[in-house]
Amino acid sequence: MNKETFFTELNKELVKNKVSDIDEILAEFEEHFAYKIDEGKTEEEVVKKIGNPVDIAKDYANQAKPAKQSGSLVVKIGLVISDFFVFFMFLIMWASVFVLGVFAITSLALGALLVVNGNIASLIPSMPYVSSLIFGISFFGLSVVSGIGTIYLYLYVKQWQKAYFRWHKNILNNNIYPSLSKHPKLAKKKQSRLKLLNMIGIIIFVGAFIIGYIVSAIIANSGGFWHVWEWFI
Amino acid sequence: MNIQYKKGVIELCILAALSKMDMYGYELSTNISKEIDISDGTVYPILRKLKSDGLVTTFLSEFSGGPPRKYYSITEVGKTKYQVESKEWLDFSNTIHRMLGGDKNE
Repeated sequence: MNKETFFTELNKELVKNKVSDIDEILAEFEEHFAYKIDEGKTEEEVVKKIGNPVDIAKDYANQAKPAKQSGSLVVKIGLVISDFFVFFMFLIMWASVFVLGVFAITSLALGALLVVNGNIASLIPSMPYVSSLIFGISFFGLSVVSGIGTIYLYLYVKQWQKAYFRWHKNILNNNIYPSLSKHPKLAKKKQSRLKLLNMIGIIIFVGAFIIGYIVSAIIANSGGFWHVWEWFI
Repeated sequence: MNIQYKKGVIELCILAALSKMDMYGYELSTNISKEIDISDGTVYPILRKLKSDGLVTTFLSEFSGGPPRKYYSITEVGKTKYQVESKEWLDFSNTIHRMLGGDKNE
């Protein structure tokens, strides 16, 4: 067996035996190898003297057991309480994702109605078609921005939930699994595309809104064109 | 010799070595496996047990540019335990020694 197989084996056995802080253990064996090889031993010689990974992992597992049992009830009660609060936290976050998503779809629908000059159930106040078209475009921009916001929020909430589940599992299993990042992984290309799209969305939304206001004000010959067109009566 | 038999003594040997000075894990491993026929790896799980029992502590030492290395040091609790147990062990081994007829003067 060479050094690499020894470490692979040891890692595998430690995981199998649910030993905690595996990185620390492996680092110490790395030190051992470095020291012995400095002394002029070959990797094979060191491996031969170091012992069987199966036995070493069992030794770690045997001495860890009493520590695991003590306080485990307290830990479990704490975990249940934490789960209870976190459950509501995630419920609120998922609700936010939903609300933002609905907002994006509504903006899209409103934009479409304005652009085609369709007025369902007199939802849209009267205005010249030019204003309607420009405001419609502005709403498309808003829908893009809130749509991307929804995607990001969704990805984050999903990642947080995953990370929480992993943490939960680790508490019950002596930290044997690597903890997860709090940030979702998004391909660089996809990320930069979304950023660009978001930027365009903001520009369209703000730009079209301002232009829409100016155009409407000119047509109505009033800064408060909504009074002229009797919107809020 | 039976391996379980040895493992019980190694704890005491580690405490003995650390009560003289702080050491790296591999120094302890080398010193002990020189005297007692055990695998080099046997010492590390025992060191971890001693640490979780509060008998030894560890600290990382940055040494001559290399990666930080783990140093072991005995605690006050460890010292007390070592004094008590080494005395017990010496008494015990003297008795066995005598009973096995190793020393004809006593």
